[in-house]
Amino acid sequence: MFHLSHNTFLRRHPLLEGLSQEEAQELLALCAPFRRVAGERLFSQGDPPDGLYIVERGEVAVYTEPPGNDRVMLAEFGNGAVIGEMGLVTKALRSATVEALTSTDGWWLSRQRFEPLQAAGRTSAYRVILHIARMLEQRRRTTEQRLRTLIDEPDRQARLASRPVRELLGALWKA
Amino acid sequence: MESVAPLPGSPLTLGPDEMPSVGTLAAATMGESALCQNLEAFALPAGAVLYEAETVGIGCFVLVDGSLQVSDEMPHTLAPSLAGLVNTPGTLLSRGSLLEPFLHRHRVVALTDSRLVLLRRARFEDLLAAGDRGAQQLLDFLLTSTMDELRTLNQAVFALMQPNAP
Repeated sequence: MFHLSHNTFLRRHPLLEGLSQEEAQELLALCAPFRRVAGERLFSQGDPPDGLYIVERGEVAVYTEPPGNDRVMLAEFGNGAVIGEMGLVTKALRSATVEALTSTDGWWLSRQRFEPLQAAGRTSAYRVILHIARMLEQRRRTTEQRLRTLIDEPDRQARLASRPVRELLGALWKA
Repeated sequence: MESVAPLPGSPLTLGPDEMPSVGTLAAATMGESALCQNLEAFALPAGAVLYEAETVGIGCFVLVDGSLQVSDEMPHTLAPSLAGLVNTPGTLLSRGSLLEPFLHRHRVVALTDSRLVLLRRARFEDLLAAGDRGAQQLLDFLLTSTMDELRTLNQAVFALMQPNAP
């Protein structure tokens, strides 16, 4: 059930920027509130994708959990952040774990409810997809720059020569 | 009124059979879409520059025929060069510029006389706003390829950050 304040928060969120009233309503109708206490997970690495999360209040951390190793924190996000957006548009399993650092609440846009909108070619769905594509392209560029910086570091040269790294870089340069 | 960036080459008209599929779209989809009518075909003579590094992208180019040299202009890096020859018809260049006015990271020059088409970002956005299925499928394709590349990049960054094996 919607509260007007939440509706206003979502309506003003960049994800819904530029949408007509009708388009916005179509998407708002798909959103459901979520709440997590500190230490509780939004989703775990390896989970099937269930949609995206918009943090209205609180802080969350993104971790990678390599098999046999301690988890590594990749990033922290706060109010207004969009989390797990790939889970809205891909069937790939979650590539990271997201956990609330503080009591966190916000809105969940379910993949299951979004898919019919996308399949029907609704402009509301494609405005969201365009927003996500822009976010991911920006992140791709930032990550590529980070990779270039790492490659230039002298103490990375041994890792650079290793087969797994060479294969990954080979796949990238061919892309 | 916003000025429209000029085409990098001489405008030309392509026959219906010569129009490349964009983003691996099926011909059937293209027929139902206004995407084709919004592609601007042009000729780029050998030696002419398609775009320079550090200039703002105006949209996505698709190679119809010919060959292009992509030069890696990123300074201060020892990274394996992304430079290479592009001569496969249908290859997309500057696809990120369909999404945002990003700066080009490469310089692209025609090695031989080439023909390309341009889909401007503004036209792509107009088509999406109109619910054009071809534009939507192109966006699906851009999203998928960006996600795939991002995953590989993340894996490479993570692999490089691991301590060296003894």
